[in-house]
Amino acid sequence: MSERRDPIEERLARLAEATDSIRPHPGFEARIADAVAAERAALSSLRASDWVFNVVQSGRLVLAAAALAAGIAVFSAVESAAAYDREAAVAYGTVELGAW
Amino acid sequence: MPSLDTLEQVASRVSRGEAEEFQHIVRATSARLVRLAARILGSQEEAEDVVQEAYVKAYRSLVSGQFDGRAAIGTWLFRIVSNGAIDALRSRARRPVPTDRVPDGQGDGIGSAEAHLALRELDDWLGELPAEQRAALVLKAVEGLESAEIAKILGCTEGAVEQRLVRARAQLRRRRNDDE
Repeated sequence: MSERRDPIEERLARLAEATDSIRPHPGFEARIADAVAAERAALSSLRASDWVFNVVQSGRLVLAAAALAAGIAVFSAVESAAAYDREAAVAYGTVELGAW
Repeated sequence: MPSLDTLEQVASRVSRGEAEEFQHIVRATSARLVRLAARILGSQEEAEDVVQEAYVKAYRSLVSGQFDGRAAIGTWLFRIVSNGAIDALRSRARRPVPTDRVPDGQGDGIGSAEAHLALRELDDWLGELPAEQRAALVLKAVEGLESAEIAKILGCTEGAVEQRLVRARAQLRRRRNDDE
């Protein structure tokens, strides 16, 4: 006794077999190669712009550090000038013991 | 040309910067991927567009180290193409193809006239199914994959795959009964 197949499964099996010969167009691989090359170029330019961005970011950091260092240098110069003036005022009018 | 067994090695060379190696993956897989997408979409032209986009995505993932190698390359590419085809079906549903569209003729793509007629028949027949059910049915009944593989490809559980298959077949059966 032969088993009767579900008509839906039968139709799907027939369509599977009938579409087995589907292949990409000639030149499809070349089309993919072009698309991948374009993607590669886009990725490299993205990386280059990332590099520029990083340089600019690090430049900003360096600038901020330099400004801070300059501020500290000015502050310590002013401080040391003031200290010198104080020392000079104390020394004025005193007698050097060494002169005896 | 490398065999399918060595695709993982080729992929790892691509991810190390040997971009030209990607063409070996394309050569080894394009026929099967275009056939899969054509069967899901019922159109070879749309299938080639989807597969092209899938290869570009795959290349991007390989070079940026996003491909973790947990799945085989073949399964991974099947997943990208199936998802691309599902997205294309959804956008087709939002923006229906005009009924007077130029049909995929004999000279359009490689395959017999019978194959292109069969694609058209598949598209008309499965056209009313939701995209996920249609993809699951094609992967199971046309591509001949197991439910476990389909679950990996569609990113869902085996139970969800079975449910989609049952619903798809029930809808096709209902339509058949209505037509009779």
